[in-house]
Amino acid sequence: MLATKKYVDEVRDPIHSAMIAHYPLLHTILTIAMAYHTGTHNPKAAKPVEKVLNASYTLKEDYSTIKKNYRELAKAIAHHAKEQGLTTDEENTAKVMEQAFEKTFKIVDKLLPELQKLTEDRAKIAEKALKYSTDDPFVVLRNAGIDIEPELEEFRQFLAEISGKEIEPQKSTAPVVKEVNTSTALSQAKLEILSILNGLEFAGFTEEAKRKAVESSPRGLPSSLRRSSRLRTFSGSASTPSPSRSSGGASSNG
Amino acid sequence: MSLLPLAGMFLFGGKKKEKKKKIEYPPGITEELLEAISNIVFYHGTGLYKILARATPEQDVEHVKKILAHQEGIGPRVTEDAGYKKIRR
Repeated sequence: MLATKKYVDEVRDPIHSAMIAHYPLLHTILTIAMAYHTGTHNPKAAKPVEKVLNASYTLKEDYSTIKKNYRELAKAIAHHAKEQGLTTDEENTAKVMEQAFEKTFKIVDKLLPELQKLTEDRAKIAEKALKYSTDDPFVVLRNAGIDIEPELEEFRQFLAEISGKEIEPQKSTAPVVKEVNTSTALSQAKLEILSILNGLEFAGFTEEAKRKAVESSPRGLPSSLRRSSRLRTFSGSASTPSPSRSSGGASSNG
Repeated sequence: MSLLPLAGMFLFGGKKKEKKKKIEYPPGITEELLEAISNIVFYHGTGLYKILARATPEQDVEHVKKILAHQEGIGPRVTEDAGYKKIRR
């Protein structure tokens, strides 16, 4: 009965259905965003969006008007979401929904342009792509020369960010850069000291002279370098026969 | 049944037909365009799910169906029950 009534309604008032052409798209895409933002992956996430779209319909707002007022609509959605217990932080939800609107518009613009720009052919392509019986909408769109994948990928990244499913790239790269710097600094010091030792060895200097050279190196001997087997023979091993000397050397080198 | 409503039906019967003809489409809107729009609004399903799934981290169509409360043979309940389809001016 309900379906028949709706169908009849639509036939009686075609202008009405033209005005809401973009509503189901906005409704479903924003619902997905709300679901990932609130962790409510069920139809409850759709209610705040629907309430705001119902109000937009009553105010006779078509897609182009919604695009102008989306910041207010995002706040209204957040308000309803708080009322329904989907979120506790209304301000944050409003910000997230604002971003969601911006990204949703990019997808909708590709799928179904604004009424003023919408041609019969373009509407039929969208109709075919969204249809219940269409198994591969991407083929339909691609055949029509529409590449929607970058917009969908952007939305996917956005959902990953708001649901915390991906690590922020900035945080992960910063420490790696630092590590590279310290390791290069250490290897430089290591090379410097090893070259001094090789030089002394070739010149036929005694073990005592080599130990003193390591201790009086301008860069000192960082603790991490003491693990090196070659250097250990001159710094670490020297500590066994005379601990007072080595401790004095270590403290002087810092 | 009195004759008064029957007389009314005869009197206003012709007027109804005129009303249908009088519908003025805004510039650029044709009957075919409205038909395609009506199909988008009322008969979306698998195609929409697959597009939306591509926009989610899991890319799982079944998960999108769950969020939108899919009804077999009909489509998403979320938009099927939406108030903006039922409100009449």
